[in-house]
Amino acid sequence: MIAVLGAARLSVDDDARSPENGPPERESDVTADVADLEDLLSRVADGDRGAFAELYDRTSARVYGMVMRVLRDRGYSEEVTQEVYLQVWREAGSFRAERGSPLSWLLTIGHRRAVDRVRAESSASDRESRYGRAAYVAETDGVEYEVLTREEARRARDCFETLTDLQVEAVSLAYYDGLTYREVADRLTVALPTVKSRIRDGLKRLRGCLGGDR
Amino acid sequence: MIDDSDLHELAAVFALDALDDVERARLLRSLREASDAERADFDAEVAAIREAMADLSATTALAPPPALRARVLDGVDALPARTETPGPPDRNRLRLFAAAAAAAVLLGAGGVVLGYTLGGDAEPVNQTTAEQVFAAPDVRTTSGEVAGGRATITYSPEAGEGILVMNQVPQPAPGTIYQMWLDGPGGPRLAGTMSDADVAPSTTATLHDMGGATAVSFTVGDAATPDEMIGEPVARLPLS
Repeated sequence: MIAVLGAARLSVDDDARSPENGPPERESDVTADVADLEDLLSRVADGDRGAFAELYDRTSARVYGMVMRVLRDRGYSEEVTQEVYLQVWREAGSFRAERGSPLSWLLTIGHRRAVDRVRAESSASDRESRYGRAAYVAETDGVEYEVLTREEARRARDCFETLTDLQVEAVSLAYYDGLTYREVADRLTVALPTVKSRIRDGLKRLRGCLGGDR
Repeated sequence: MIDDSDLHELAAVFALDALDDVERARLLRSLREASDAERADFDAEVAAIREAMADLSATTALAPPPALRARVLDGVDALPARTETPGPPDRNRLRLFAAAAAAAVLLGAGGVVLGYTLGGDAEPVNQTTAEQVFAAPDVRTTSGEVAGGRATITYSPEAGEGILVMNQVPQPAPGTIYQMWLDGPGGPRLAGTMSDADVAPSTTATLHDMGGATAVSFTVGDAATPDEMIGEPVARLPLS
């Protein structure tokens, strides 16, 4: 399991936080292992605002970046990211370490909200027209994903690139464009079982590449 | 119903949030009826995929604007102390409304799909559905009060499609959702759910395949069990 987080480069407004509310600024690469984040989450569940700020600092680039990849709009992405962390604050007590990693929990919440938003904000036809043949994880859509050079990002990207083009297409339309698999089938003019198996097989390959235990 | 092999097969699209609300509700219902082993298999599959997607998020990592950090932390500061987190759903938030326009018997059969379009009044609904409904020779309207706001369904019995517009309906309390059911001879069928994030001052949703429904009922449900009716309907829009 990959337990290292991407860099979070944050420069914080001078008036952002009072000192007791946690580290005011993180300019260095932030890495954390699962146990660290679990500890932070359990402190957040106890109402520890400093721990919450640290959790945000360590994970927000992952959450915001994924949300931005789905919504492709800074304003919406900021709103959704804010909603995600408010939900994290409220529901940290419901996190169960045995069911998954903290980062997985955060991104599950974030992706669900991003998809809800994208389905709310645009009709299926709008979304279809937004999708270009080149939709692909390595594409930056004019956004500079600044941590692409980092080792874990490179490894994940390399693994994603082991998928076939058809698998990448199906997984990307579903995960990054927020389409239901029925919409993916419509979009690609292929049968539902075909879409399901492309997604399933693609994810299986991705998991196999990322870690043999997946 | 969803059988066992489907259950395993749907784990991937479920983990990617690639099911619509109704399919998701059906899947969750099937899961509850599945054996412990089947459920464990499904959960393990979903968890593994979510870990993989968490790893994949390294490729899209992007530092949010610094101002967002301040907004998030201020937002938390503005919340009441943790011990005052919301309790069980307040079923009295919705009030029964008086029946308004009467309508017709609906035709057709099949599943029900609800999509959402939020935002301003000018926000386009699923154009195909809206056009179809408004162009239908048998277009009808039913409306009523929901939680102090107003809900109107414009629909075509012939097409079995409708547009739900809610104005000034308050958001459900955190942890709770609004559930919309199509009432019919076979009992209520879940048409869709709305979380607090879904409900805007003006919320529009499309209703498909309304076959056989005689009314749309609203209940307040638990977000953790979105397809379970845990309280009596608190509002009902008659369709016939």
